[in-house]
Amino acid sequence: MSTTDIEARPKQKAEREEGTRPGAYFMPLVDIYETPDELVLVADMPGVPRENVQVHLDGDTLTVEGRPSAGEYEGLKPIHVEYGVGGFYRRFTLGETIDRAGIKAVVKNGVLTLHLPKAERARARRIEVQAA
Amino acid sequence: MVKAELPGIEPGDVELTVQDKTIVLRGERRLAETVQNGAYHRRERGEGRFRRVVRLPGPTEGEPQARFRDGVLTVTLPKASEARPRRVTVHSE
Repeated sequence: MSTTDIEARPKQKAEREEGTRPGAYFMPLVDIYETPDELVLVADMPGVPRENVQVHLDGDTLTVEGRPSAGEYEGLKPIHVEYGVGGFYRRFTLGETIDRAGIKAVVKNGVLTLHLPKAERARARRIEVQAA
Repeated sequence: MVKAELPGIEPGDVELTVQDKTIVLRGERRLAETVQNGAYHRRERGEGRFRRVVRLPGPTEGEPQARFRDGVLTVTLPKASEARPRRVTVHSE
């Protein structure tokens, strides 16, 4: 096996409406998976502390946003720059009805994990077919 | 100072070597959750081992400091005294 499985990929600028705060926004890379009970979204947001993460669910539109901690790159004079510094922003349309009260978000080592439990009526149910 | 974005990596999974003007950064990203009872809709985050060699612009000396916060690694290397600018006092004659 080679010593490198993952290569750094350039960050993609996020498409978003003009914000009130200046600064660049990038699209976080995500994994999304679905189990019978929930949708789980995992987003890479390096440099973003827990208190700077915002998650909004408006209808079926889920918005994930994060800002890096202020001062992390402040006052530095770059010699060599490979990655853009800024916030993260991405919007998704959910195909499932989510139980809002049960949403759980965890941030660790710059990774946001979002558990979105499906609403009771959206869960797959097995229906017994009765003999007449 | 060298900064690297390493989201989702435990500090213990990063190995840092400093030699002369070269930093070698290697490690592994293990994605904790493997889904047994489900299906992926999107899979963009990479997993596995990585290695990067960074050439520094000048010599360093002393003990480098490494700090890991919110998925960003910051390595601070003190410049060697010969690489630091020196202020020269101008004397009048």
